[in-house]
Amino acid sequence: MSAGNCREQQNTGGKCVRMRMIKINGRDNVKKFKPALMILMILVLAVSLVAAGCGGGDSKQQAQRDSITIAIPNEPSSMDVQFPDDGNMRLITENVTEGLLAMDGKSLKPVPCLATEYKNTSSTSWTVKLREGVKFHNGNPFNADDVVFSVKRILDPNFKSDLVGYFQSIKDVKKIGDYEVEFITDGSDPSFPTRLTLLKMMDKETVEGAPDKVKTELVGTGPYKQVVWERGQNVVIERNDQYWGAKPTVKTAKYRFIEEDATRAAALKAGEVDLATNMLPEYVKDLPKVKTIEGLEFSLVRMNAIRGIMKDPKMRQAASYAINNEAIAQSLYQGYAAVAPGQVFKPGYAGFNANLKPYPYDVNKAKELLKEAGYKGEKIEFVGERGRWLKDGEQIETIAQMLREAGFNVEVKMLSFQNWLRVLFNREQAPDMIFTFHSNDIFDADRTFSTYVHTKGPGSSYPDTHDKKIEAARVELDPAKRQQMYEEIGQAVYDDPAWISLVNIKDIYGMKDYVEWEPRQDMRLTVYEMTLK
Amino acid sequence: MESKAAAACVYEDEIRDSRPRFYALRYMSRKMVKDRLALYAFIFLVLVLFVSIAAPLVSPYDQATGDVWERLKPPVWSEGGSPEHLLGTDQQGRDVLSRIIWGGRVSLRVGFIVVVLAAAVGVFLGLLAGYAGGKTEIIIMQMVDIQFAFPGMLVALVFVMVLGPGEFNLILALAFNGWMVFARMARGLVLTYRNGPLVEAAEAIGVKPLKIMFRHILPNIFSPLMTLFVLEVARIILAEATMSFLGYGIQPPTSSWGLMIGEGRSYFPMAWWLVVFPGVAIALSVWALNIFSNWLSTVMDPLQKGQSAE
Repeated sequence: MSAGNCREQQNTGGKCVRMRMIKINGRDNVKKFKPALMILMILVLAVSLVAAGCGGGDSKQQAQRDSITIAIPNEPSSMDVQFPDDGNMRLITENVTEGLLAMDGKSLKPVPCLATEYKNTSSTSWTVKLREGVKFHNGNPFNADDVVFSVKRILDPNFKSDLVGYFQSIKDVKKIGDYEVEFITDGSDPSFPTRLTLLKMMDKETVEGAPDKVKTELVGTGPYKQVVWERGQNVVIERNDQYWGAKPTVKTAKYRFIEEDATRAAALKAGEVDLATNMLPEYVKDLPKVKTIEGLEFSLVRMNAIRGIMKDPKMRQAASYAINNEAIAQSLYQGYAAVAPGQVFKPGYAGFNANLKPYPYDVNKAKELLKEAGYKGEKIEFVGERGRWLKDGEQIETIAQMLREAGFNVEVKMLSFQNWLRVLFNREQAPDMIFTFHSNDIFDADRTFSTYVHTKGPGSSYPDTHDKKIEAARVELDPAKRQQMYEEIGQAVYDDPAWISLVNIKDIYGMKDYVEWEPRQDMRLTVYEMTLK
Repeated sequence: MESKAAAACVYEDEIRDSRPRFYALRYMSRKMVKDRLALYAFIFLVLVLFVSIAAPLVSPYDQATGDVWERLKPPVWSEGGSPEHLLGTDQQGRDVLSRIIWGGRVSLRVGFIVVVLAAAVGVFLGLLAGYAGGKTEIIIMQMVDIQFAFPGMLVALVFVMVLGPGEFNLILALAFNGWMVFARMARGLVLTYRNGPLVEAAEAIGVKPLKIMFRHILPNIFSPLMTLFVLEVARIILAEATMSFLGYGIQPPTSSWGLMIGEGRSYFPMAWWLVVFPGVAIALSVWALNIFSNWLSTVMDPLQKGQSAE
């Protein structure tokens, strides 16, 4: 009221001292605090928040770069390389521990590492000569006792390692000399050398001395040693100056755990980290430097061929026709994914079938098949998870939508990663459909068929039609014959689909200009292969 | 005798005065027009309610189907936007505007159902505790205190993790967490009437306890409970958004504001519209509900009469 009076006075030309006073005191503002003004204020606040998020400059120049900070999505669950099947852990531990053999990043063939020689002495026995003079980070020498201990530890059923599936074919291991061991396999095992690249060596004395410490403090023989693991903060590894092989150039590497993809990219842009893994294709144009590589991960939708509505092969074929893989690869992944070649193998894997082609995208055909199968709109459960792989949630929703368009009554059920794992590896509880990514770390069809087709496989929901053939192929020593058998199985699970093969995604790494590193197909983040300019 | 009659008369006035004035709609509307902020908030809420109810008619596209080839299109006024998608498309090529409209429907539905359930249970237990007193009161109020001691969001999360995600379970979980505040408030209000002449008189003529609770006490404590109801709807809308954001609420492909933000947050650096529009929708709705509840308390509470902004 008073303000109004003043205004009147002003209008009539009268002096208004009171008005000025009020204005100085700011009372006038309070009185006229209108919603429009408030909305304006909120907008200003919102804009300034967004602007603040975009800010941030480069970190200060280092005189000589010898350390690197790497952003990975999640903290490792443990540092015991032999226990969890944990990709985040491996991003770190691949630099700290070694196996008897290592994987060559380019040819994907096993090469000597802690072993100098290996020989297949009979169909079920391998002798391996060990490298002499190798020391663990704590100074203990590496010898045959450590090998025997490490192998027995991972195979121990009471230990319940997540990785035991890779080594099921190993029956026994024996010490022959201080630097020589013999492996006995269950039947012949052509992919035995590849398996050895995944079996990391641990120090017998250290593990036996403090079995619980192994979960947090890793002692290996690798080019880097673990310095510190600050829970929830970071892991730091440092160059091992006693390393037996070529010395890496990067002195220390610090791993930070940044879960949000956008935050990881922002940290890279702001210079808080020098390298970030798992970038989205959409970020690529804003990042200082990007390296991509076709990884090992194939996405697939496993279908239940033993129970429920999807048991009818026509239903599963219809689902295969209903998916537009090209749209997923080109639009959802912006071209950073390749359509799977009708199987989840790449050319070059043992057992790759060159005759298979991706199912064509044909909705009408799918509808026809559904009609033939007598499908009446029964509910189909489709289990998925979100956040473990690049765009997994989006891919699941897109697939569900494509299936719906073809007439499937799909109900998506997103589970937490742990629950999803439990469902995936439980034949009794197999849902109608489940989404997963599959990576064949030994580049051998046996790995895939043993896991997802053989009735004893942890991830199988397929009848026992091919069990005998898979078992026979596993121990077949003639490569041509073995190849032939896998091609037959490949064709069979394509015609009577066990799963829908979707896309092979590329791994995208964002990095600063001064980081020199070529990503590897096997997804190993090799700090020892990096250089800094 | 005379003085007693006069006293009764006073009581009656007092009682009438404190009852909600639903009949005085003209008075309320006059109040509302004067309180501009409340008016805008009310108009906004009515608009949201209308759009939510008419979602199948209003929304330009289906909420769940998109075109993968039309991903991440910006809003119409930005470069590269098209009038086909006013607020752009999301990471799967679905129309953002349609998803916000359908998401509002979910938010309001969850908000109302949860609060109706929570209020029904909470008010009943609160009335019972306040009226019955003694052991009943101790037991009920201890239950309230125990449940208040647990962080609400955590309880809801555990609830959904055990039962499995989905709208029904989300409603159960949030309602399970929401009743205590109604119980505590109702009990406190009942205590002011419990030993007053109103209840005394009713008891004296032999009215049954349940009838006293619901016919004689409840109407008198109704207005503050109404205010709380509206406030709780706002809180539950936020809680639903949080749960959906975390992936434990509404499940895709159904839309929800929280879910939209959760799914779109990876794309925030190059597609701000995925996060900003649902965020604004949540903020405006909750703000409007708060203003509305504030206004409601000033018009319905006789003690605050004349205190509201003219």
